[in-house]
Amino acid sequence: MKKNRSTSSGFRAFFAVIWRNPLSRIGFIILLVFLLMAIFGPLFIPTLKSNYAARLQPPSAGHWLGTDMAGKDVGLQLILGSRDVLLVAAYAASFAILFACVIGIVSGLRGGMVDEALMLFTNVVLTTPSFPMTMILSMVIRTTNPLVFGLLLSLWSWAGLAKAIRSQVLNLKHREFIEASRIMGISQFNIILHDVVPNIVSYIAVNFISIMKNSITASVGLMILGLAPYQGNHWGIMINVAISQTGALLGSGSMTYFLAPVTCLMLFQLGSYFFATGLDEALNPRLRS
Amino acid sequence: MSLMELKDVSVRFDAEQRKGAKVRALVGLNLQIDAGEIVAVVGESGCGKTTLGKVLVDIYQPTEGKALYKGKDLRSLTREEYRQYRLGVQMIHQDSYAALNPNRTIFQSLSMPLLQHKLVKNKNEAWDLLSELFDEIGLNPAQLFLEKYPHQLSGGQRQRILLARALSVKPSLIVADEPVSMVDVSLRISLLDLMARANKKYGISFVYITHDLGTARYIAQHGRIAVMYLGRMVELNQIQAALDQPAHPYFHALIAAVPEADPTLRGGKIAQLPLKSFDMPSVINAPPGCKFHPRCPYANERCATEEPKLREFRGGLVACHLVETI
Amino acid sequence: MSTPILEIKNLSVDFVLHDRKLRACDDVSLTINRGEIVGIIGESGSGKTTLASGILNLIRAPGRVASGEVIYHTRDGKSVDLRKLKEDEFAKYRWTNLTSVFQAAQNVLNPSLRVREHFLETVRAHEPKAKEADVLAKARELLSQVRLEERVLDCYPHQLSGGMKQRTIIALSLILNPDIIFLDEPTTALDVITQWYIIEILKKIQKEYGLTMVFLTHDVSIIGSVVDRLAVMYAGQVVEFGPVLDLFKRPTHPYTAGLMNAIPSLRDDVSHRKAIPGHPPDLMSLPDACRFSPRCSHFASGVCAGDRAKTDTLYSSRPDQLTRCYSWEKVFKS
Repeated sequence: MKKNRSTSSGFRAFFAVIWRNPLSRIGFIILLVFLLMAIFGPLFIPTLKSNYAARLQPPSAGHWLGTDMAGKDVGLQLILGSRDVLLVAAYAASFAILFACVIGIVSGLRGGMVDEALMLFTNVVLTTPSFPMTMILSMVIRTTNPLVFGLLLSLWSWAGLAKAIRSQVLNLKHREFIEASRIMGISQFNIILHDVVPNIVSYIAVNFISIMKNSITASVGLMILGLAPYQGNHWGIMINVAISQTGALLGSGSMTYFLAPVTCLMLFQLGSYFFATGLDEALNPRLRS
Repeated sequence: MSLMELKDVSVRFDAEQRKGAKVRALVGLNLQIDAGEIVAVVGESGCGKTTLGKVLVDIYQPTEGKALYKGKDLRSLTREEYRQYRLGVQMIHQDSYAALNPNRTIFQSLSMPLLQHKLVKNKNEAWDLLSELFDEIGLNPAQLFLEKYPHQLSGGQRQRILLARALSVKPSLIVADEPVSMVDVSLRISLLDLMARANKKYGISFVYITHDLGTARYIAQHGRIAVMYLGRMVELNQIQAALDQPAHPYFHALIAAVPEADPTLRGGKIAQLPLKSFDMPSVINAPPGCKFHPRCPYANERCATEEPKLREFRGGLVACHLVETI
Repeated sequence: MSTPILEIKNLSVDFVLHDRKLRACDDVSLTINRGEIVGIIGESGSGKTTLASGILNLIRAPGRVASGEVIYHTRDGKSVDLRKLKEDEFAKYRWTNLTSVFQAAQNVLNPSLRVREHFLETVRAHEPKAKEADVLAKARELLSQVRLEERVLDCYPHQLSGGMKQRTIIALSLILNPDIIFLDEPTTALDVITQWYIIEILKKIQKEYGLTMVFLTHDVSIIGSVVDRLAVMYAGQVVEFGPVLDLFKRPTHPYTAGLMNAIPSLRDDVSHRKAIPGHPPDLMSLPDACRFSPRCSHFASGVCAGDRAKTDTLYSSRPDQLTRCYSWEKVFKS
């Protein structure tokens, strides 16, 4: 007794909607390019060798985006760096969402003392200025591990989302279909997984993209300030070095060393934003016609 | 032993409008539901009938008194017994759109309880069981309905799906809270017929909660009717006997107020309702004594001070001091 | 004395969704006479509320009135096509000539104004120089007609129960001596006893002020006890129109007959009740046949071919009765 997969649910429908909306289609393509660049790029690039004779060169046939102050090809660095950029951002967003979901859902469903305690904690985190705190933490911790860096960045980005999720859950809690599930003896865990989460998934997904965006900005900000605890390849580090050590802003031939990562950053932000506009519709069956 | 019993159940809520004030949604309610019977619970808004329904399915807990399932207090059931209770007592909500998860297909929503309680081994078995059930209640081809989302279906179809969901776990009692009030009038009877059929075929008891006496009479033809007023049960009797000769003055007024479409059956309708006042008192400020006395044309001093208890009268139960004389 | 007060001619209302057109009201024509109570019965998808909104110029995008006229004959003998008026011209007629009472006082009362202010504002919108004392005196009179106490004037809407709000709105709709009042499901969501009461009040007011009433509902039981003539709507069309007693006892359209048969009451023979098979019409995908044919037993048994072209007009089945069923003589032999 096979059942036919209808096209109104599942991945096919999801992508159909993303593709249909011109903005989200562009966003999706941009993000896909970066994703592919991050996954496959570093596999094909040999270790970059320094070549001090050819440092700070403008774009040429051999080096499409010029070279940096150690003579390494900028374009290749960009590709190498993309992996870390995306990884850090993805970790940061994942941790932030995880914290926000756990706290928001438990708080919303349990209510009472648990709710009050968790919300007090959330409010404290929310009202602490996040960037200064992140700066302080990064002066203390030094790491090359993108996961740890991501965790660090997430510590102050989950609070707003937690409150929003909690209010969504409070909204859902008294809806009849949740009551119906309780009457059918569905376990609390299954109610969360099957009744609550699907109704906040589109909300979470849109926020995932937005948190990724913000953590990239935060990490780049830290790096430009020279505070980054991070030592690996990263566009932010490229920007930092370009500004502080090569006078790129002053118009030397190494402009591309500065411009290339900046442009990539902007493109990524733009792509995320465009993609997010289509996400809500794609994940919410009622908004599809 | 009755299937489900409410013993002296009272439910008290905190009033929203005034802090500290309590709303007594149900007071001293006693009701026994036997296997295979249909009980209609009627009353106007604020009478407590919905609260009664929610106590039966353990969404609200009694602040006083006990709810018993198969003779055992709900609060003293073991985990496995409670699980059996959960499967045994189901509810059909009034708003079929709100009662279904808008982000899940019908199949996903309805297969969840079957899989969790291991009533089927896997998704394919769930599909088969639900298809058969859908065919039986007139939703065919079943596949068409199982794959849709709630917003893609009409109200009448959704209400049938709620009934199917309740039937899928093979319950002994279904509490239906105004199941047809949001369905087109031309389709109401077909839904009631399905419920009556489930009652006959599978022996499922029904508690049919409504403010519409016409549909109550239709579905509970051979059953009983309980009339509620301000949280109290004021009359309980076999439905035809109660409708032919209402004992409680409130029920009498209620019946007189029901509009009759057919002009030839309207004859003998009284031009004036036997009521002193038309506005129902608020549940927070319930009057002393008999709750109905401010509106009752027959009330005397005893009614204003002493609350009448349910007692036997002409084969049923009535809560009125003066029922013999009216 | 049956002089027409409102003539609706070929009114069609469309809704455009995702560049597909949905015709909620299809070529509706009705004549309402002065001083009578006309009922319009319809379930979901019937188009009755759209019809009322169309007459009262309340249709907003994505809906629009595609065609048709609504001729209003005033007390002093003038005739004006309401469809041709611009919004500000129409506003002059609203509340002074045509008023409306919609379902259970939905959002009509401003929660931050007392009832007295509602009356004052409504009157002043049309007669800026009206004196407060005069308005309130009239308001008190109307409130007593609907059996509300004077103190209601000082209340805010949230302090009133559903039934009291509905009665207040009825009083409010009468403050400027209108000619014709449209009521759309005025008693749905109210208790049986309150409902009975409001119907009695409406009947009394109608007699006393000589109002014309148009009563829209899905509740067959109520409408039978109130109206003089009844129009039945299905899938955007009027399918039958005539005196209410005739429609009930001798309907000439299968939908009307089915509807009357599908309502359980307190005194009828329960075993005779039968639901109308099938499901409500989907206006987005109507059959290329009589719109009721998917649910009509006479179509299913072959007695009637359900020809769509033949259902484009109404037929006169009895002296005062119109029906859209062209096979009515075959179907309703007696």
